[in-house]
Amino acid sequence: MRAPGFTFDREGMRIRLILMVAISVILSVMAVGAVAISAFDRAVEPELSTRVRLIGSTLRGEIQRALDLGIPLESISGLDAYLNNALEDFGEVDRISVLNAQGDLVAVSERESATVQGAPTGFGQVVSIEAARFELPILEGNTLIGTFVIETDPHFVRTRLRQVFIDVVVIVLVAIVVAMEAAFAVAMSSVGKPLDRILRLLREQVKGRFNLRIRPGGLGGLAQTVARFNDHAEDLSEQLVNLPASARKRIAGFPRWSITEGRPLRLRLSEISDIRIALFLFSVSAETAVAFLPLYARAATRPDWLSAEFAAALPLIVYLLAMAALSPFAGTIAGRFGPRRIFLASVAPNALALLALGFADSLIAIALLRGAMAISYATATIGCQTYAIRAGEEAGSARPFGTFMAVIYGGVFCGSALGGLVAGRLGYGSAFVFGASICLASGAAGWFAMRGRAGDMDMKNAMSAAARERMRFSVPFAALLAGVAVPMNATIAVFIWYLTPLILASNGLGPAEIARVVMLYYLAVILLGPAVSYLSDRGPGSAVMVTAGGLLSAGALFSLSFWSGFWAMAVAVAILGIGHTFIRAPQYALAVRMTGATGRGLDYLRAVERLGALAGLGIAALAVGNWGGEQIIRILALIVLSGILVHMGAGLALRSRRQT
Amino acid sequence: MALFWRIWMAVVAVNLAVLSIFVILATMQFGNINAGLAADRLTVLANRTAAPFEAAAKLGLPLSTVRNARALLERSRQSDDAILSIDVFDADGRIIHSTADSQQREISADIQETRRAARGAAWHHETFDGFLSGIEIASRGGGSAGGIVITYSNTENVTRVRAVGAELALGAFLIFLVTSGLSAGLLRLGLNPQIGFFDSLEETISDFERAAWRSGGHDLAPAGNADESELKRLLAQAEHNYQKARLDLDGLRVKAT
Repeated sequence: MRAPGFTFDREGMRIRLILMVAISVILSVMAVGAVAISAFDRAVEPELSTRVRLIGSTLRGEIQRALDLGIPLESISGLDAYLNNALEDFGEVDRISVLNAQGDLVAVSERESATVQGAPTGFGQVVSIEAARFELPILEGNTLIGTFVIETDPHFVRTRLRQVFIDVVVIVLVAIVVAMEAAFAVAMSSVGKPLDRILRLLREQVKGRFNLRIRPGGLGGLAQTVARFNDHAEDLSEQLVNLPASARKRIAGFPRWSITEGRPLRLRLSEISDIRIALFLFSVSAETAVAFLPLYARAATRPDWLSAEFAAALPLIVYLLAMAALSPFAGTIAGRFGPRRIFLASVAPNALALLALGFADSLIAIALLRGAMAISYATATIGCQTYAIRAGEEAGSARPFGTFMAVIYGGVFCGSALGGLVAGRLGYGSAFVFGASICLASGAAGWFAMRGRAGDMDMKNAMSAAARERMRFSVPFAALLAGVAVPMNATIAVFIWYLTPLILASNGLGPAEIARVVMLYYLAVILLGPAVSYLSDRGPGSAVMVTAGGLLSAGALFSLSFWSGFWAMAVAVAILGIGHTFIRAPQYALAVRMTGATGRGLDYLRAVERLGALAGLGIAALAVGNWGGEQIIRILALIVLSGILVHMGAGLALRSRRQT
Repeated sequence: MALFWRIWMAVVAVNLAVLSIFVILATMQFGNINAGLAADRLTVLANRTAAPFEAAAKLGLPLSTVRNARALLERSRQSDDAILSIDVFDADGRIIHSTADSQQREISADIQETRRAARGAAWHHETFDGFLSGIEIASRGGGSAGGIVITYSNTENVTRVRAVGAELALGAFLIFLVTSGLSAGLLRLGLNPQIGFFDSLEETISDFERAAWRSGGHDLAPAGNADESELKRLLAQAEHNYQKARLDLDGLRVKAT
């Protein structure tokens, strides 16, 4: 028998789950997509056929009228123009032609796309539809003098289905993240957590402490083991109670046994994964409005002196302001009242603010509500982060930051995608109601999952450890803050949150399409995050990853100077997401290494991140009217590049000083 | 295997949810495509039907003066069995000619509202009974002399949408069955280390339980072999401690009595 180790391989399982769930879901949807196109084609064929025949007979009627007046077919003036007009009116018609009795072309009108498209390939070939061709005779008296031919676009159904497929792609991506979270939660609640609890109880009992019991549960033999060893503690407790009072006092003669006189206390263990579902859902709810909020705010009534551009940015500015103002105190508040209570208290205000946003029609109301959301978001996330840090310390693990960031970004990704989808299909109001419902679900998840001791308010040791740390403030750390953290967060706020929705909206895209582009940024974080953490720890190192990420980010922003439009934005957003993924986790590792402190160093980093985002967004919102979005993106690219050079310079200077 | 089945059920549930959403969205989209095609076709028919009325209106004649109006409308109506009626109305919405036998004198307020919103363009309106499609008839001065409204039965459209929905649902269900089996295979292969870990846990626990039965409630000697798993060692040591503690408590009871 292979001896089991003591760690349930969580990260390995996560990577495998992403891969397998993705394969399974994508295969299903592709197969049903093929079925859908085929079914649509067959179902729409009679309608298409009737319709094209009607169009053909109407157009032929006009030609017939000219013939009845004695005009020969070849001499009807403006026939080409007439056919061109008809072609413009009917999207599914690809080509209309008039042939004489010998089959020679008299007039023709056809779409450019019809000649360019050519044969379908790959998936398109599997589901391609036959082009329909209708021929109607043209008569002069009883003589056939020509033929009217009308041909339809074989891609018609497929182009009409494209919208559904784009929506489904979003659903598939969200489903992969949700399925992974669900499968992981199942594995953790069935094996991971029960095993941790059993090991803790066994270690206590090995030390002779029979005064604790654990929550029943677990899969198969694990549940049986919990029942047995809980019963041992309870049995000894009952034995002790049943002893005469004089004998009970003599138990002190056996110092190796610790047995309670009442029911053993229940051990409440905390696991980092306790926060996963609650934080994921909260993050989803908070982000449902992100993709379309600039558009929503721009359309709201505003004071005359306020420009539309600044109005679009105002809710974001208020959001960041509230976050920056609260961040330095949120950790203390979470410690004072307990992470669990803080998280649960944040749920209702966030849900109410989301609901109220749906009814808000003035910019001031929208900005204030976004500010309220920011406060509840800050307290909720810091509550979860504090819980994770405490749970991590209990387990002697350094996973909390990684878990926290992965869950937050998973939620951000799903929230922005789903928010855009719901807003696009059902309207903004529905998207806000959807967000509020998810928020309440996150409260329920937090209520049940965050019951470990890490959620309590009395974990003085855990809090004081961070508070006692002395932080080293060095030049490389300052370079990291100014050269990496500030530009990165200014780029997120200015480019991803503000300019991307505005630029795409000016290209005629709706909220759902905008959300799909924005989600590309978060997709990179989710998919590449674990690999980057691995490379940062065991590969080229954190500093190299941060530098590579910075150069990639600058490249993505500069690329928009050379091309523009939907695809340019989509590619830039995706590459920026990859670049920032390279930076994010290694940056935290570098901050801890440079300052020698986890608590204070990260507090500085967080505060500077928020201020960077705030300053960047404020300046961009004020300047966009004069400079335009493209100029601002170029300036942003220069700032990112300069920042990385400063960071590299500081690193090289430090290294050369160490060598001398 | 219990762990595997649980994870598989979670993945299958999400897969089912995704396919259900896809089927619903696709069916809705088909309904839109079908209704759009029908609406466009009815517009073509309405334009063709309106031609003689428009010719009269452009001469400044009232729409009511068109000869054989009922026959003209009836010929258009008979071009498609699903057309319930065709009405010609004047600028105020009073019905002048109709293929229907009903005594309705005016087009409904809903249609008037839709007409106004369309601002002279072709319009479509869906009601519980059917699908309405209309166009304006231009007057001599360029304004509206009235219009034509075609009432089209929704039955065929609804049937077609339902048929597509059912076909998609059936197809999705079959694909779901296939991909569920496939995902079971994938998960079994991919999660082999985790499943193996859980199986070895189960085996360790079974071994311990068996040893406990065989000892008949007597003290279970703690495992001291370094090659054995830590779980096995902890289980045996905790059990041993329990037996010892129980003996100590029994000893105290005996002494007290």
